[in-house]
Formats: sequence, structure tokens, C-alpha cells
Amino acid sequence: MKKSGKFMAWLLAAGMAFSMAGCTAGGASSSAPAGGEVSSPAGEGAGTSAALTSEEVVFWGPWDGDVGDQINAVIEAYNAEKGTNVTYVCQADLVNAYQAAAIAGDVPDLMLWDANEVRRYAKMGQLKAIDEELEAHGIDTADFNDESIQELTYEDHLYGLPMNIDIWGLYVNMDILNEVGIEDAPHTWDELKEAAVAAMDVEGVKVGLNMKMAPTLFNSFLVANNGQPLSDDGMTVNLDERAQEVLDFYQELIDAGVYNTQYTASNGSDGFLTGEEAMTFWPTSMLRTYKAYGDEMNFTFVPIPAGRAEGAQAGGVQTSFSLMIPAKAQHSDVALDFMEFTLHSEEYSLKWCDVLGGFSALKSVQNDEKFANDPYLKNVLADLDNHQVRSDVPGFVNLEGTCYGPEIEKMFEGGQTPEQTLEVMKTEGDKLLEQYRNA
Amino acid sequence: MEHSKNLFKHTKKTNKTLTGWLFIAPAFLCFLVFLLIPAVMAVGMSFTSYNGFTEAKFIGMDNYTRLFEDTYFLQSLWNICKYVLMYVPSVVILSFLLAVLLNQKVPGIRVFRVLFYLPCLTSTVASSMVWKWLMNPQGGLLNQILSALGLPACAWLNESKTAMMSIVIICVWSTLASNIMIYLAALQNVPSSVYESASIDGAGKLRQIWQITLPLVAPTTFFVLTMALIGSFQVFDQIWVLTSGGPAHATTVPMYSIYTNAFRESQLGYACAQAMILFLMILAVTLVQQKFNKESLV
Repeated sequence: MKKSGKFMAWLLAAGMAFSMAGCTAGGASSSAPAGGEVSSPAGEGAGTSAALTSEEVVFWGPWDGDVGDQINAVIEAYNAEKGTNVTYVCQADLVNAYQAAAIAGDVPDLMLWDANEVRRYAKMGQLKAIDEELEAHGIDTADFNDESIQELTYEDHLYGLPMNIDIWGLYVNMDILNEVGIEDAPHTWDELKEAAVAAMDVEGVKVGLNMKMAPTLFNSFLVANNGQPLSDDGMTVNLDERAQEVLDFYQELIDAGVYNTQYTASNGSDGFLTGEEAMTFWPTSMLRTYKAYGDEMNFTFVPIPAGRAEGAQAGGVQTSFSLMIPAKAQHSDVALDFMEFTLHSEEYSLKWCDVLGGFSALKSVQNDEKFANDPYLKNVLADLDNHQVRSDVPGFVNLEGTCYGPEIEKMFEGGQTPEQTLEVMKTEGDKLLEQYRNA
Repeated sequence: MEHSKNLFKHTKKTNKTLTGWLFIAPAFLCFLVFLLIPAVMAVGMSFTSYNGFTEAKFIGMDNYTRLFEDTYFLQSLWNICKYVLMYVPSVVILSFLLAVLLNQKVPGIRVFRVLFYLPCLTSTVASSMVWKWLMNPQGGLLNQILSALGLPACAWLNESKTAMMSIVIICVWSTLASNIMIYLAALQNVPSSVYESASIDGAGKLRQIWQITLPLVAPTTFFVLTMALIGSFQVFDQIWVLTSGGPAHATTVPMYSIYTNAFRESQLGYACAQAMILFLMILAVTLVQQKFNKESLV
């Protein structure tokens, strides 16, 4: 009994030790590059060379289902054309998946990601600069939307190519507005307020304007009010009288009762689709859902309405989905070729807009009839140039989520006045920028 | 001969010790690899600007200096203190009272024990989503009940004044079961003769609970209190699923801040510094509680 107990103890300890070693060994072997050394760019002509590897080229994106199928369709067309083996893998939590992959040394060859993540990862040396190779392949980045290219640029180097242009705007239920005698979607703040207040008289409407996203859209409203989010040197936030006007306007809407913080749509559904919300803020990428499930609803999409300041124009902040190549990708030549083939092509650029929504990032097809004839997107075309990307100042992308949004939420609950809110946003915003500058 | 006997005894003792160490080796290895070593590494990382990708650069006390200037991290510390003050007394008192009830010898008591234990078996995420529906301000079951009783509706998770209280309710509900079981085991070790003597002396039920049950389960109370205190400082799941730290940072707690800084902002060094502060807070509270407990026993 004693001998068997000791034997069991040794067996158990040995088993634990082997499984620990096995975990480490398994991680190491799975991270070993399948093709040996990282392939170096082939240089001139790489983008047009037929000699691309037929080894598996891994492409990560955040979606599966219908969108994943559409992405696969584009990939299949490319593979058929080039004889390559690009494979799409859905990673629902791309941020965490990439972090784990980078530590393990097993990064994909190509990623589909929010453009506003690019600068952060470029700063950490995680992405491959592609400007020189694009130039060598005869690809002119001036063919793409200037703001989108700027969003993918860090320290004068380009780290990705935009797949579309995505902007936040206002979805308007025209059935509800028509019922109260309003024939056009609002284009100014005063029209927005008038429409939201009037819509509250329609049966079934719980909020005239869903302002849940308004706190994080502060910078968009500031741009639409001819304001500038940062000082010229980018060291401090620029919350002047135009910023105060945004907060005052938000407070006017709250005081008018068009929205309350206790509002949630019934049964976890989308309040805009069920008619509980007359208007709501979402990006162009939401059109896909509303077209699919709101086909019996008469709705439209317009940009963030123009503010009250002199020179204000409808507009706001824009971003895009982009393709980028990790710095340690094994098949960066194929990845770059895929980017050039599908993004510098009018045909594929329009296809990507079917997949992702929004407008084409290629200037030559930005005013294509696909958008000019689209009943929803045509309303935004004229104001597309009034949109700007977020600043590349460190910490700027964090301002909305960490500072501005929560302070404005507090204002919505009556916890502070618009003036107090602005003071806190200035103090904490400057502090946040300084923290990220020094980080 | 004597020497052989001593050698035999020594070898036998060594064998026993070795056997003991071998049996605890797996658990000790796990503790070492997954707890102790990472904790020591985190202390070191807290003095660097490590982002998970590039080499860690030593920056001295910069992360700690930044902590005390970070308004929102300081708010998270204040939020967790509020949470602890609401959660710990609630869970200790409620689990004790429910254990006393479940210790009664009535028909069907086992059914009640099973029902009270069920929350322990449910996934935190799934139960949080159900609570979100229950706490929907516009027609959720809880507001319907309040309305039926003639009471005003509550904003629950939708407003900063009530969001933390809502999180406490959900967390108390999900952790009561395990504490009830611990108290139940302790109550069943209290000899019934003590209660019989008290009854003969004329003590009522409430007095028996106050003057007999409570003192006799004091060690269990100390254990439950300690575990509740340590666990409460680390609340995360429900906040991540239900409020994402909002509204207006009302439910932002240190664990949430640590997670977002480490895995969303790639500021692992800074997140480690936050984790160190949280560790020191838990340590301080636990030591104070232990000292208080020792003094009350004396």
C-alpha cells in the first residue's frame, strides 16, 4: 500500500511535469513558421509578378456568416486569378487574438481591421510599412481618399490601405416625420430639434431622437459646428465656445424630453426598427441591417446636421475598415499583392462596399452611380468632404470613450451643467493627452 | 545494529516526507507557474512601459505617479470601496440567515437547498444577460413588480445613481449559494443539546440565534467574511457584460480598468501598477480584518 502510494505520487508528479512541458512545446511548435524564414518582399514587380507562393496565406477578419461568405467570394476570385491560396479566418476578438499571436510569433499575413487601430500598432512596430513598395509597384496613394490615407499614416509611412469610407450619421424614420407634417430629414440642429420634439406626439414613439451614442459623437458634432477638436500644436484639447454650443444643444434636447437615460428598446430589439425611435445615430455600416430588416419602413440616412456656428456644415468624423500586414507576416508579398489587386481596382472597391457598407475609398468611383443612385447614401455624397478622420495625436482616440462620453452621460442624468461638463472635459482631456504623450 | 535502526528510521522519515512532497507537487507546480511567478513578474513589469509587443523599458515610478494623477482610476478605487461596503455585509448576513432557515428540519427542505444552490451552477454571463432583461427600466419584471406595488420605477443599470447597487444585487444573488453551504455545514456542527438547554432556560429563537448560533459559527463567519472581502475587490464579469464600466464611470472598478489598460490599450506596465495597488488594498483590508478578529476573540 505504501509502495503503491509512493508510486502514484511519482506518477502524478511526472504527469504534471510532462503536461507543463507539453504545453510549452506545443506552443513553440505551433508558432514555428511553416515556410521557414519570413519571406522578404520581392521588390520591383512583386505586385504584378505571377511567381506568388501557393502556400497558405492567412487572412484574419472579424466576421463570419454572410459577411464572411462575401469576403471569401472576393478571396476566391483573387486566388483563381493568381493561383494563390489566401485563406480567410474569422477572429471575433481580433485585438486579443492578435496580441496572443504576436507574443507566440504566429501572426497572420493579412488583417482586416478598424483604421483607427493602425497608428497604435504601427507605433509598436507591429505593422509593415507599405508606402515604398506601393510606389515601386506604381500604385499612387493619391488615388485613395486623402483622409483615409492620412488615418493609415504614422510618421510619414503608410501602414495599410482603406477598403471603404464609413461615417456616422442620422437614420430617420420618414413615416413618423411625415405623420407630423415634416417632409424632409433634418439638415441643421434646429431642424433636428424640431423633428425630434414633433415626433414625440406620434403614437408608439418613446424617443424622438436616440441620444445613447451622442456622448461619444461629441467630436463629430463639434466638426459639424465648424469646431476643431485639438489645438494647432495637438498638445491640448480645443474646447471653445463651439464646443460649449454642442453641449448646450445636447442639453436642449434633453430638456425638451426627446430622450431620457432610462430608455431602452422593448425586449432587447432595435428601437429604430420597431418604431420606438424616430431618429438614431449609427454609421453607414448599419445600413445593411436596416435594409434587411426594415424593408417595409420608409427611412433615410443623412450626415450629422450642421451646427449653429458660422460656417458650420453637415459632417463629422470618418473612419474606414482597412487591410494591413503584420510586420512579421511570412507571406507579405502575397498580402500586398492582394491589397493592391482588390483595393486599387474599381470593380473590387465597389464589391468591398457591398461587403462592408459605406463609400468607396477610391476617388475614381467615390461618386459612382452605385452611391449616387442609392436612396440612402446619395444624401451624404455632397457632404462627404466635410468629414475628417481622428487626429493621430496619442490619446485622441481615447478621449471620447474615457473622458468626453462619461462626462456627457453625467450631464444627461442632471449631474452637472453643460458649463461644468466642458470644464471637466478640458481638464481631464488635457491630462489624458499628456499621459499618452508620456506613455 | 543501533546504527542500522537509526538509518532505517531516518530513511523511513525521508521517504514519508518525499511522498508528501510528491503528492503536493502537481498543485504546487500549478501555483508556482500560474500564480507566484506571474505575480512576481507583474511586480517587475509595473516599473516598465511594457506593451506586450516591444521590449520592456524601465521607467521607475512613472506608472505609479501616473496612477495617482489618473482621475478615472482614482474613481475606480472609490467605486470599489462603495461596492465592498454594499456587497460584503449583504452577502455575509443574508447567507447566514438563509443558512439558518435551510437548517430547519421541515419536510421538503432539501428541495429548497437545491433551489438556493442553483445560482452557483449557472454561467455568470448567461445569468447577467437574464438580469439585464429583468432590470430593463421600460417593462422589465422588477419594474413591473414595483409598479404593481405602487412604487416608482427604478433606472437600475441605466443611471449612475443606481447602476452600482444593481451590480451588487446581481453579485449577491450569484454568490449567496456557496456561502450558504459553508454556513450550513457549520450550523450542522452545532450540538442540538445547546439549543435544548437554552429552550429549557426560556430563550426564544431569536435570542438563541444571537447568543448561541452566532458565537459558535464565528470562525465560519470570519472565513466567509475574508473570502467575500477578497472576492469583492476583484469583481469583473458582471460589469464587463452589463455596463462596461458605465454609465459615466459609475461602475468602473480596478479590475475593469486593469483589463482595458492591459488588453485594449496595450499598456501592460501601467495595468500591472494598477494591479499592485489593488493587491495592496486587499492585503491591507485583510490584515485589518484579521487583527480585528483576533482582538475580538481575546
